[in-house]
Amino acid sequence: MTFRDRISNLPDNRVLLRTADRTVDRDAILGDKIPTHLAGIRVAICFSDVSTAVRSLAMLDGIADRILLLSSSWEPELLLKLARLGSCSILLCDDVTICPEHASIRVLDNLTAIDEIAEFGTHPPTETRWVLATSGTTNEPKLVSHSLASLTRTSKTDTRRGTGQCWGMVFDHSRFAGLQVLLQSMLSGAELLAPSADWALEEKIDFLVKHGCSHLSGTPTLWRKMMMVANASNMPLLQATLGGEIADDRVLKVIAQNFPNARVTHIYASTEAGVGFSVSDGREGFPKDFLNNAPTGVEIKEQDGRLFIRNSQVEQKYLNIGDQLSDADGWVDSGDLIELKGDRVYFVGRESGVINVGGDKVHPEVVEGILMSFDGVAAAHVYAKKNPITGAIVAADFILSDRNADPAKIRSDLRVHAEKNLKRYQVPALFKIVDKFETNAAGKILRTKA
Amino acid sequence: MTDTTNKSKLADLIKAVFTEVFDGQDSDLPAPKLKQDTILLDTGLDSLGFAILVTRLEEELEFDPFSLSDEAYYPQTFGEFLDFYHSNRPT
Repeated sequence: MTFRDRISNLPDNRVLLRTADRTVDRDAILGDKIPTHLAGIRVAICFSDVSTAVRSLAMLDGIADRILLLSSSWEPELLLKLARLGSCSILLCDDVTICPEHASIRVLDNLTAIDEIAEFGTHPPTETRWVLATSGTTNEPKLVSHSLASLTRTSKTDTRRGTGQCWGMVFDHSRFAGLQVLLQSMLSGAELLAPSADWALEEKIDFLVKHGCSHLSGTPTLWRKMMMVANASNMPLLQATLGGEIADDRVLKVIAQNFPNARVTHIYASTEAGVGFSVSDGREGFPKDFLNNAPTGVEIKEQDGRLFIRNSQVEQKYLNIGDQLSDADGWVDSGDLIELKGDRVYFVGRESGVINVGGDKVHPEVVEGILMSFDGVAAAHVYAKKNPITGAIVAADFILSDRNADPAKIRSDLRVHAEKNLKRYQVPALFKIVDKFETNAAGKILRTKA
Repeated sequence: MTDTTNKSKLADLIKAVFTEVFDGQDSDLPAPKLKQDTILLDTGLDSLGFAILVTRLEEELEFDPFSLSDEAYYPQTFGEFLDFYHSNRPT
């Protein structure tokens, strides 16, 4: 069933979307003419307005071979680069003037202009692929292909449940997390509340409180921030979901306390593997049982201290790089380090040592390189330090080149050097002078510390 | 180590570190004055700024109330923030 079919099957003409400017009901979403003459094309869509994006999805799912969702927060050069990587012949976006037309890509700013295209269209696809960009662990975005079925596999789209629910979407609808919320909400007949992306957090929360938000998802960092907004606890939440970063006991507890009627769930998911699994027992990590018996039909296992996950729905190749995503048996290496303690499995960091500072990823080696380019430093070791606001923050131990140097001066000069050469979130918040570095039994420098 | 039993000395330290961290942000605005009822999220210090503030305070004070306290709590005003640090100081 296409997105259009599923929306059509909703029992009445209810409001499915509320933005700052308007409410959009079922019939309005289905109101555009289906561009059957374009069957088989590959289209990139990039709209800041959620209602336009949703209408495009309704028009194109089942017609296009591929729909590539791009974020309107990205630069035009990146949009075109990704559209090219995705072999798209059309880019639909808000403002054609900011996006110079490329030789092989038609840039259009509205859906009705689609009618005027005569040249494209080959044959209807068996199933439209929904392609999303993931930032992955390096800065270069990768494209991952899904189907509507794989994106909604764990969605509970029973309209008896959805009726009356109000889902808040504070993520970008073109990214995996935001799209999950959008689909879960719309396909179950709930009302999606989409505050404007450029509003301050307090305004977004006022909007959600005003319109009775009952279901909300966010990263742990975002939830911690929301818990600092006085009005937040006035949201009549029945479901609070966390994902995208490691959820610790502390943030789970503060949410449970502020929303006594809410079920609190944290989700482990990766764009590459499709949806992972969820935990709703209020504790960080997940039950050891899941290793043999994951609840949602996804399989998970531990190997070399890392979590491996298997999901047969995702096309097993990144679209723009040659290497296989999974091994021969379909297992995907998540790159997440896990630790078994008693009946529980805990997430302890990334295998690459990448530090997640409130959503921004930092490679310790990059920071170490900058620190070591400073004369007073003989060696530097950069690691993650736990932080109650951002989950983790960058910390650095370093060894002085000259033991007789004035430590206070070196530290302050080193900080200035780091600030000049690194992004703000990469700069260590803590600098410690040490005589030597901590290593594990195998002699490897430890990348994660309390 | 700063004498934290004296609440007003603690307040001064927090304000000093706050100003230092605030000035490290990319903004032409001067750091706002922190009063009892100043709402932390309205000061213009972002999440990362708060994370850095908490880290620097831990370095100065040698304790972190967020780790020590059993309560899952996020202070909303400067007054609450100060109380949180003061009431969780090691004795």
